[in-house]
Amino acid sequence: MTSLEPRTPTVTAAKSIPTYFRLLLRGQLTRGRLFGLGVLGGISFLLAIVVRTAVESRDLEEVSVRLLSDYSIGLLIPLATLILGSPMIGDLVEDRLLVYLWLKPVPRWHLAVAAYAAVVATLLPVVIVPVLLTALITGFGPLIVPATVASILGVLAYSGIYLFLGARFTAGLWLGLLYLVLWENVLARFSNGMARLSLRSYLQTMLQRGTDVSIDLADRAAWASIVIPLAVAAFAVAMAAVTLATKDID
Amino acid sequence: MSTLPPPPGVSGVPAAPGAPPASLTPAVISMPPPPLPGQASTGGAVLQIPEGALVVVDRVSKWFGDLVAVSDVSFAVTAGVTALLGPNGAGKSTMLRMLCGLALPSSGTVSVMGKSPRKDPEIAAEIGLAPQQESVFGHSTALQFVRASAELQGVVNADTEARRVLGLVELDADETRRLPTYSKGMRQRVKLAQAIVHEPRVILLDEPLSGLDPRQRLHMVELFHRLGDEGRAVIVSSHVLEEVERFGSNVVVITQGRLAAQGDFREIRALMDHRPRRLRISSDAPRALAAALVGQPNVQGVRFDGERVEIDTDDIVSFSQSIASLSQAANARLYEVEPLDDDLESVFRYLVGR
Repeated sequence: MTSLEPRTPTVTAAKSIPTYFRLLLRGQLTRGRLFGLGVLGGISFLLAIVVRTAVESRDLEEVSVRLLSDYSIGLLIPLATLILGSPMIGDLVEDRLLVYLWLKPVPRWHLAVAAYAAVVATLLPVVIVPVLLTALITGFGPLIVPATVASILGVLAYSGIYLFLGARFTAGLWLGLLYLVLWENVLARFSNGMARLSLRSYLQTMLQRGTDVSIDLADRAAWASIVIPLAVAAFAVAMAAVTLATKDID
Repeated sequence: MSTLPPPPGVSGVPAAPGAPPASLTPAVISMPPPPLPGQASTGGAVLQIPEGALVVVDRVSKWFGDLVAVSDVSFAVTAGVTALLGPNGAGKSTMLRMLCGLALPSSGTVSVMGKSPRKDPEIAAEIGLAPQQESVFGHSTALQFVRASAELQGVVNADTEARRVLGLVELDADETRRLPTYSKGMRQRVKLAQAIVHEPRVILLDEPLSGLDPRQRLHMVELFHRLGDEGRAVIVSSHVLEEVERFGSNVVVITQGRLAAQGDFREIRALMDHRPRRLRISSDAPRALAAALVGQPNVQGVRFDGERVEIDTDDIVSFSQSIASLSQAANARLYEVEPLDDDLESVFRYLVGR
């Protein structure tokens, strides 16, 4: 061993991302988190049954839309993504485990993308199944496609935001909760202008495409209801990658 | 911020005529005052880079707000085992983190084989780190953990290599227990295995012997030497002087974030052994003993508090030989001779203050 020229092994994204993905899922998908996700989905299911049995048929469409809009989009999706998205990298930082994944000859975005993929892959079934069941139980077929698309977009966008917050800030979980409660559910509901900066408004716009029921502050352009959540997701994952590349690792 | 050219031998740069030999210069480096946050380091010791240096640290400082963790430290490391010695909180772990790119120096430069470990992620292929923290991936077995590390390092036969290094550290690759159920010593060995599975040229081990039993310590020290003999730079941090003695001849002493000494361990050990010492002597006739000690050539100062005598000596060996006859001459019975500055902190303070 005499050469002082460093080796430069090629670790492609196709090789590193699945390995990261596997390690992250194995480490972060704890029983407690799965239980929390299950509770959120179960509440959705129960509410749908209550609505179906207790609400008169003439009000059923409006109540169902409100259920999907206020619970599924307003609470289930952001809370579920917060439960898993924030700690996916944040816990590694807190537990001082990130070093084992960081000190590898791969670009930092591989880790960010793998963490994001782990969050999304776990949450899509957890979120979509309850939303689909809600739409099916309440009996409104036209809601199924827009509700599903809104759920997917919501998971994609919120996962990116919470992944970044968890990677960047020690109190990422609490900042995420603050963002959800204070911004998405209070401040952004004050005016149409502020709602433009709220993800919820774009997701509700998507949902509204399947119904005649009017949802407050859900009057974004159709293209924006798809493009904005995707852009937010891409930007947030990019910021998580930048954070991993620039932040001191403990 | 100063920058260094690549080490001689890197990128075809030949060693300069008259350059120091490959072994580290056994010199205690006098250090300039620490730079203030926001200031680049200026002046100070000129770093001479030995031929074949794998790691070069040039005027590196690291501060967190107002806290200066590492201050204007320069040294270079060639192949072999090098001990990074210092008391707890001296800045050793921060230095190791900067050596592998986990932390960015506030000023100065770190290079590993001519590349910045922070800016060139690919150099991680030549770095292996066993961090100090005990935490490990909770849901993995040792084999899964080490194999994943090998995969992420681009090792072709990841499973085979993971099994090989687990054998090197005397762990069973087919063990089905999860890592959290492992003892501290077993976790230390798993961390070492993941650090060397890709055969890096620079291996950084942060307090790797803590939690190991004496037999395992011996085995690990042998392994460190074997890795060093293969041409790797093995940098082992420790706060235990006796432990460092077993690592080998190269030592970098850091205390209070500053480089206290660097070079051959035996020379540093001699410095430590011949430093001025302070002793407390208990006797049934302390006044008479104090009077007898005054004026002795190996005694620089005597203090008497009415009950006990404290003396300063710069020759502990001759003082130890003469104290019995002195007390006998003074008709004083000796009860106890107690060193007051025998702890490692005192040793480090002395090295820094020289």
